[in-house]
Amino acid sequence: MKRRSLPREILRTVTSLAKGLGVTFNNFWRKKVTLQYPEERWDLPKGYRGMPALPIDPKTEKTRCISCGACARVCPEQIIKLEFEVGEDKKRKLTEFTIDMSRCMFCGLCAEACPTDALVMSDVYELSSTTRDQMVMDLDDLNKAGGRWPEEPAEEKPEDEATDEQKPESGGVA
Amino acid sequence: MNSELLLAIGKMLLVAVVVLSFVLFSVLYMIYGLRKVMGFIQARIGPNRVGPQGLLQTVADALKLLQKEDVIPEGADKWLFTIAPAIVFIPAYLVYVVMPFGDGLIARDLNIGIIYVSAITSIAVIGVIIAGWASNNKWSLLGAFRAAAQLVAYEVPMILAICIPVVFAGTLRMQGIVEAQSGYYMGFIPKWFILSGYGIPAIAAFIYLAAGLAEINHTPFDIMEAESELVAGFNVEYSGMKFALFFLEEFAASFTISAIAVTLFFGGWNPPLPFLGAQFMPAPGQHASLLWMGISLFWFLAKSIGLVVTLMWIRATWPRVRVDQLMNFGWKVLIPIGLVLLLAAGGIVAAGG
Repeated sequence: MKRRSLPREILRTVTSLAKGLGVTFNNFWRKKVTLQYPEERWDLPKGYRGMPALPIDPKTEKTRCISCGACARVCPEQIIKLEFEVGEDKKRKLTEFTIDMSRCMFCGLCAEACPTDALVMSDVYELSSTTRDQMVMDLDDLNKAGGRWPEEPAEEKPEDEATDEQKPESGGVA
Repeated sequence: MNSELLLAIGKMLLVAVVVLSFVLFSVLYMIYGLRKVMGFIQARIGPNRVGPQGLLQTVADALKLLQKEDVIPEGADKWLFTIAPAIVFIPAYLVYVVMPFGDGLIARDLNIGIIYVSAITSIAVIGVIIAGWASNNKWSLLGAFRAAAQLVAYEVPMILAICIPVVFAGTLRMQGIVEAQSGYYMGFIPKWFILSGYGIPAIAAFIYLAAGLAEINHTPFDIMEAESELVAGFNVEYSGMKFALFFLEEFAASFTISAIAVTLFFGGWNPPLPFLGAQFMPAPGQHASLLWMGISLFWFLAKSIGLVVTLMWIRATWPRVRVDQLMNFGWKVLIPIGLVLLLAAGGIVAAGG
C-alpha cells in the first residue's frame, strides 16, 4: 500500500467521514421503503403464482373443471385429489377437489396442464393456519380463492375436447 | 430554625424529583428519537405502532422490562451483580446537580462545577467494570477490560479539553463559564467559546466530543459493547430492570455529554443571535426574570437536543474503530493536541487576549 503523507491522511480521514455523514443525511430524507403489511399491500406482479384455485366462471356460474385429472397427474407433489361422478349425459361432474397446500411448491404445473383454464394460479398468498388440516383446501376454499374469473366472457372452449383417455372410471380419485 | 431546615430539605427533594423525572422523560424520548432517526436514515419508518406516531413505544418497552424475570446467572457474584447497575446509573443522575439548564436554573452552582462533572461521570466506569466482572462471563469481562483501558485513555484528553474553556472563562463554575460566553462580537456573532479564542476552543470542542463519545461508549468508540465481537459486552448477562438501568445510563450520559459540550463550547443558555431573546437578559447583578429563565432554558435544551441528534446521526453512520486504533487515537493524537492547545490557550490568556 502506498503511504500517504500525514496531512493528506488527515485530510482524507476528515473528508471521508464527512462524506459518510452526507450519505446518511441524504438517506434521512429519502422515501421510506417500509410496507406496513396488513394495512398496505404489495402490488402483485402479473403472472404471480399464488395458491392454485378454481374460479367460478361468471358465464355459467360454475367452475370450468371437467374432472379430467390432468392437474392431479402432473402434480410433482401429488397433492391434488379430485372426485367426480358421471352423469346421465356421460359428462363428469366434479364433486370434490382438494389440494394439500402445506406441501404445494407453487410450481404452477397444474394450472399449465389444465385444458380448460379452470385451475389457475390465484394471487392468494396469505396461507398460514394453525393446524395441518386447515392447510388442505377443499372445493369451496378453492372456489373462494379463485373468485369470479374470467371477468369478461372468454371465448367458449368445446367441453369435449378435454375428456380424454386414461381416466379412472366414475367416482375415482385421480 | 426547624422550619427553615424543613424548607431546605423540601426544596432539595423537589429539585431531585424534578431532575429525576427530567432524566427519565428525556431518556424515554431520546430512545424513541434514536430509533426514529436511525430508521429514517435506513429508509425505514421506525416505531409507529404504540400511541400516536409510536410516541409511547419506549414507555411500553420500559413496562415490559419491568415485568421481566430478573435473572442472576449461576456463578455470578450476586452482591456486585446487583449493585453494578446502580453504580452506573447514579453518577449519570448526579451530574444533573450542576447542569446549567438556564439562567438561575441550576440545582447547585458549585464553585468547582466542571471538576465535579468529570469526577462524577468517571465513576460510571467502575460500575461497568464491576458488572463485567460479577457476571462471570468471558464476554462481559472482555467488555469490562476494554472499558477500563478506554476510560483511562480518554479521561485525560477530555480533562485537557475541559481545561481550555476554563482557562478562557477564568472560573470552574458552570454558570460562570456560560456567563463568560454571553455577548456578541459586532452585535451578531455570539461570543461562544467555539467561535472565539483564535479557534483553539473549536479544536478543543472536537477533542471533547471525541473523548466524550469514548467515555459514554458511543459509536464510533463503542468497543466495550461491540456487538459483533462481544455479544453485548459488559451487560450480556443482565436482564429486566437491571438491563433497563444500563440502557437508561447510556442515554442519560449521551445527553450529559451534549449538555456539557453546549455549556463549555456552544454558549450554554445564551441565545445564538441577539434578537432571539438576548434583549430580555437582566443587567448584571439583577435577578433573572421568569421570561428570561424560560428563554435560556429553551436555548439550552434546543442546543443540547441538536447535539444529541448529531450524535445519533454519527451513530447511524460511522463504523466502530478497532481497539488498537482507539488506543492510538487517544494516546498519540488527542492527548498531544490537547496539551499543545492548553499551552496555547494559557499563552493567549496571559498575553491578555
